[in-house]
Amino acid sequence: MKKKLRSRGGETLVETLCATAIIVLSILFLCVSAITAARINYKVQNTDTTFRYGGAGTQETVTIENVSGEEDLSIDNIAITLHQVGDEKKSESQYTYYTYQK
Amino acid sequence: MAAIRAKWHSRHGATMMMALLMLLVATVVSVVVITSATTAMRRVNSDHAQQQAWLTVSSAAQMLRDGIEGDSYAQVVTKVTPRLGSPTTTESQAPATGDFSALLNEAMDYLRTNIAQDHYETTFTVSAGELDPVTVHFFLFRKMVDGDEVSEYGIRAFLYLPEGEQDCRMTLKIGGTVEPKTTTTTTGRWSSRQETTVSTTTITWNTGSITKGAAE
Repeated sequence: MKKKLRSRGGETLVETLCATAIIVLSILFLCVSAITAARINYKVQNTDTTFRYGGAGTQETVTIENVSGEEDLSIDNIAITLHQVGDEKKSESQYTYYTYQK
Repeated sequence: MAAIRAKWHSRHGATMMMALLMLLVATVVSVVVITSATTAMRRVNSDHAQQQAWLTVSSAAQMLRDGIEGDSYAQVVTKVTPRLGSPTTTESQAPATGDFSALLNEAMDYLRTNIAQDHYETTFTVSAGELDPVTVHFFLFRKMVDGDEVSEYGIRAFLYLPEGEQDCRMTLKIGGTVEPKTTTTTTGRWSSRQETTVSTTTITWNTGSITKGAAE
């Protein structure tokens, strides 16, 4: 015991400081990643991806244009009702579809 | 060899090694946590895009189906046979009148003037608002009996998003009912007597069906 107490062996101050700095950095890494993951998960949980038919529509027209180019087919007066459903505050979670009535 | 053994058993710098090991473990755990979170986010965005693509294509398919349904096209052949002289034949059409009449009339006129052809095909895009344009590969075909009389008309439309990442192919099938009708009337007396035969063939488009995928 006496020998152990009198021993001059051990870590230098620089080694101890470096080790402490690395440990602090590791803990910081873990904390930042945990907070980032929690934020992403919160956003995912609050994103409503379910689709429900409904919602007031706006009057629009559909345009039909020929691709093959051989025949000249162009119809641009077909009236449709364009519906936007979902959370109005979050445009990324909104769905758009249209209905046609004769 | 002895130097290596001494180095291996040396306890100098062990704290640093432990700290570096902890840094490694912390980095791996951080990467795993963030990757799993971003994967969930990406999946949600992908689901939304898939649903939106399906809505865009199905809206176009339903519009085509409802627009064509109930519309009709008639081919009228009038043959006047006088008692004296040679008979005369005239042809006329009662074209489709719905919103898609331009497409249907063009297809039917093409088939009427190209007797040897059994189908008309064209490709067009349907654009509505800010939605991605839907490409439609449209076929109007007929089946002949004995190489002359038409027994069946049908429409196949393949709809898809050409530039989208999502594979959202749909097929619209519409059948046409062929209804032939012939009326014969006789007018005049003696030498001015003539027989008029009016043959009307009406094709009426029935209710269509929409299926997922590019079915034949």
